[in-house]
Amino acid sequence: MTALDTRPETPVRIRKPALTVRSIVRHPATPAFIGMLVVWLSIGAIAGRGLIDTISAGIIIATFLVIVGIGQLFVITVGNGGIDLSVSYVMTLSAFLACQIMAGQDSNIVLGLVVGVVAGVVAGGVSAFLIEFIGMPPLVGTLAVGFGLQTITLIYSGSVVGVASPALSDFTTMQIGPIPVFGVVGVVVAVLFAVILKRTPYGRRIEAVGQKPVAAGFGGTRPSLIRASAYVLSGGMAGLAGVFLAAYSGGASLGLGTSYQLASIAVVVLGGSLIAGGRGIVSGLWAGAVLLTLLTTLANITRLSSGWQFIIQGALIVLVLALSRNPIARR
Amino acid sequence: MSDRSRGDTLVVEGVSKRFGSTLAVDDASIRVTRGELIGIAGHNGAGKSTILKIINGQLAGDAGSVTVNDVKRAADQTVAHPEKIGVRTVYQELSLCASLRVDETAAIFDHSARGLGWRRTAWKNLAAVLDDMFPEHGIRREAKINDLSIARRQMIECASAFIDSTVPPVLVILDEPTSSLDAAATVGFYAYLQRRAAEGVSVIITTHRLHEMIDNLSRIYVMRDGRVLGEHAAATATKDSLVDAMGLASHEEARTPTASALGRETGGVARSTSSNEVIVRLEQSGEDGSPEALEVRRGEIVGFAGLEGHGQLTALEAVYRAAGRRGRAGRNRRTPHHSVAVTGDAAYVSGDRGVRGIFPLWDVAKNISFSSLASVSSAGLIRSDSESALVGDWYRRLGIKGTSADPITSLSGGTQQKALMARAMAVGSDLLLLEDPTRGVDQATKSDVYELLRSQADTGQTIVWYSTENEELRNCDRVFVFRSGRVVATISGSDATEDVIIALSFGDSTDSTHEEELAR
Repeated sequence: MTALDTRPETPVRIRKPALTVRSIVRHPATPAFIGMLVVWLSIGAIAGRGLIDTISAGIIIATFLVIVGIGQLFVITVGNGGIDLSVSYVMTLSAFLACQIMAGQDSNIVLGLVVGVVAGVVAGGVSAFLIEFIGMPPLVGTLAVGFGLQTITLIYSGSVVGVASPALSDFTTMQIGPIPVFGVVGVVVAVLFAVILKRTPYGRRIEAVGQKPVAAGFGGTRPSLIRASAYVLSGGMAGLAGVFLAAYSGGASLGLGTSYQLASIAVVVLGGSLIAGGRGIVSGLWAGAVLLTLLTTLANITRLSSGWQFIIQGALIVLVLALSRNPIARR
Repeated sequence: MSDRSRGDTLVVEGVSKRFGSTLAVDDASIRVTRGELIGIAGHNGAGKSTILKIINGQLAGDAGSVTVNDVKRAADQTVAHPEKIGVRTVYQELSLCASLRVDETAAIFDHSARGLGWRRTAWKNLAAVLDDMFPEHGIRREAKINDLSIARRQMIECASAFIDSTVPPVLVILDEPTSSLDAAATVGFYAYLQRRAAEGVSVIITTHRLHEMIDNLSRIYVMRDGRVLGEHAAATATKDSLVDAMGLASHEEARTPTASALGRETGGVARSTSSNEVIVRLEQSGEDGSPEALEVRRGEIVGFAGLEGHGQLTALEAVYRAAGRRGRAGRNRRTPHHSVAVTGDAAYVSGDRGVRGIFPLWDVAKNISFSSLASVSSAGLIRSDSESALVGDWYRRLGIKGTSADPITSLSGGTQQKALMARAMAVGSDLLLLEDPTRGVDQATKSDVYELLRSQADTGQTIVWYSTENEELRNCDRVFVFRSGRVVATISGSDATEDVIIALSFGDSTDSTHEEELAR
């Protein structure tokens, strides 16, 4: 076509990053996995409990955190100071809504799940509107939505007594042989969203907007819409986690989601994602969630005073974060 | 005293630096006398930036010595605060803090601005240099760096290198200082350098704008593959002699501007009669207030010229926003001076790579495929084989070196720019919009880019091209010259010489809208 094509062929090597020991050691998720293994083995050593029992209980409970954390990961990865502080309030409200609808009837499972997720999506939509169109900082915008939801929940929960459907409760604790079914759900959800983030155009746009929103805009993307979608996703995931958690714990309660507000952020960072956005690591998030869950178990079985438990938890988290500070992660 | 003033400010002897398997600088020696302006010429990757970083002490060399102001140090020693020995550096990739105000930024460079009123002191010192260097800079002290155009950010960087501060500058190193400046600002900049040189300040400049070096400097060192091949007196050097020394392949020389301009003239005429589809329509009110329309047709290359900040960029961005997304119609857009309508979709390439171009956490492949994700996906998933095929294809067509798994930030500026061109061209859009795409890019890459644009236009892609470098507008079919936000003249590409464009962009009178444009 032009002189450019008649030029002597330049050798073009399209190299895929090879899976070497070095690349595994340097992978941002590695510290979280190592931390998870260390805590897991320590529990076995200290308590003499079965390792299989420990991990299968651990990954069931971690799954709630994985589901909320994935939404949080998308919000953080999309950048612009993205953070979702409303997730805990969404979980609690969705739990109450779903329990009222299911009312102990297995026939209402689907409707309960849908309503729980839709409530989260609506809340996420409101956050997105406040942040992207009104221009509030994410920290304030999502907290405002969270407080709103908390008020609604307080008023509404007084008049409701609901119970989750027994089938859904059984599902969250079911084991097939040694394999916890709900733990497998957590792994499947993590794999699904890892694929979405790394292998779909939408996921690429999430990471691109998180790195350079202006460049992404000139590259044919609408940064504000991509960011808005992350809040909606986060709300939906929090709603889903809330319904499952209510089913697992036998019913909704006002403090249901509280511990997930900061834990969901912690697992994102523990997993090697950049808190400033642009790079999300879902596999690391899964390991981070299991790590945090097992850490609570470890703290409980050591029978130390709660002060010491917190110190040990804090020290381990600091250690994992220190390990994950490789030069590439440091921007 | 007179003996000292004629001494050498900088002596570099036998400096080498190796990065992995690449010998970036190979036994290089350079000498700069007091009050001398010298240049270093060479292609991207010739080792210019590396040797400059060794000179200012940011990077440790492997061998050799650097003597600044009669103080000798081994090249493997780094210097934490080069400004304390009077060495200042302006890097090619602009490095101002985006969220600070102009006066706050000035205080970072100016160590004399301390105590109460530090902002005022810093601004006073910076403004003194700015007013001298760029009389029409139009920069306000309370403006945020983020909101300034790339040209104004460059002006601030250049000016801050010449503030007296606590230690006055002795040696100033400028890496592509004028890459975003328009012709008038560039003239003012070099005039200022001459005045400071007369006071004894030495300056080293690297730029790909060879004629600037020839016109304004005393000597030019030429580097290739890490070696200093020799020095040329600027008085006797010509652009061709420098290009020869830098070692261009023979096919580059064949493309002299006149030959290609002539070839294009006939082609341009043929095309404009064969295709009449209007892709871009700019409406503005004429001198007498009646509306007039400017049209860009399919397959045309149109340049936006004029002095910096006269509305070219505003118009270009409006064209991008007015363009439709793939398969959807665009909407009309209004700017203060134009109403813009576009048929078809558009892709955009910016020369401001750091902010508007690259995704720094990704490898080159993801950077290139970003705008074409739909075409390499099936069933919603990105197919890695299609993606590698697309990326490999553009690696070949643009002659990008290295592998596509390299991090984008490991490439030189010119190669990053090629990757960004590839990203935009891979879209296959109706319209390709270029915002100073050859900023800080060497002559060979520029020639590649010009040829590539021509071939894209021949396949029916319309190109609108904003440039601060008037010389390259000869590669356009037509050039719109902007003044005070309006298009004041339309000339054919073959008529678009530096002199004509400058004459038109200054015009006879400046009206009040000029001020308004500058104040933005």
